[in-house]
Amino acid sequence: MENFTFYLLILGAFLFCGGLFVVLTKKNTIGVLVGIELMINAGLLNFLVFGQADGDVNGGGMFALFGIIIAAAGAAVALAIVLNVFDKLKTVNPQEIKTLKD
Amino acid sequence: MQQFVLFLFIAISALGTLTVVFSPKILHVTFGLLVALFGVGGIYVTLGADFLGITQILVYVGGVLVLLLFGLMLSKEDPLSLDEGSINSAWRKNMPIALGCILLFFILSIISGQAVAYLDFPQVNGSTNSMVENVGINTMTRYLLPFEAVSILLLAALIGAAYLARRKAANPRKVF
Repeated sequence: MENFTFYLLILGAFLFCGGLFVVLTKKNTIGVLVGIELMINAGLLNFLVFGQADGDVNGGGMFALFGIIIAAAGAAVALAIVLNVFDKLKTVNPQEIKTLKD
Repeated sequence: MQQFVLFLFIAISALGTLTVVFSPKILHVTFGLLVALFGVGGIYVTLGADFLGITQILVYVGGVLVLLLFGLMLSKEDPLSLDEGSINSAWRKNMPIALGCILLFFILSIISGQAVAYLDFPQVNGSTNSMVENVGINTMTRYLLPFEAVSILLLAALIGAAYLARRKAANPRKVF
């Protein structure tokens, strides 16, 4: 039972597949954003787990730190876009949003 | 003791993910995301990346999630309304996607098992050294350029989000 690495990789795969399913099936754009955040976190978890291999240099941890920053910036902009889309089209269902411009 | 804590956090994270996947209400989905991200943050702390775990909880649980709830309340839809994508009648339509995701999960699991078995990967044993000192030294030496670039990116995202989310004038067609 000393093999933590395998279980953490399994958790990463589970988070990624759950996020993918949510992105593909949710009928609400905010739900889709939630799925994207789950997938990003799965990737960052894998970076950290494999980053344990280089000991105290923390290469994987640093990469995950920058990843968190970029994901937060993306989430802020995406949410602003969702609010704009709801203002214009009165729906947040991604399958009903078909027009590109008017 | 450490493996007990690690498995506890893995279970918390998996439960949150199951809530996100199966709950039909968008508010419960968002709180499921909170639970899942909290579990991942706990795993970070347990693995010795304490700075990363605190950042995860501050940025995601404190920032992104508040942002999501804020957007949920602003979007004038009932936050407790059912999301048609998840109720039972839609399951037949979603079945191929679910099967594809399960297949992908098994493929990733097999690849993970092979990686752990063949790469002679050092076992994760949770280094007791704090990550904070390394983060400070690394951002000022090895990762100085990405650090500055990411600060520019954050500024751009801040200005862009504030521009996109502000109240529009009376005539919305003149804005774009």
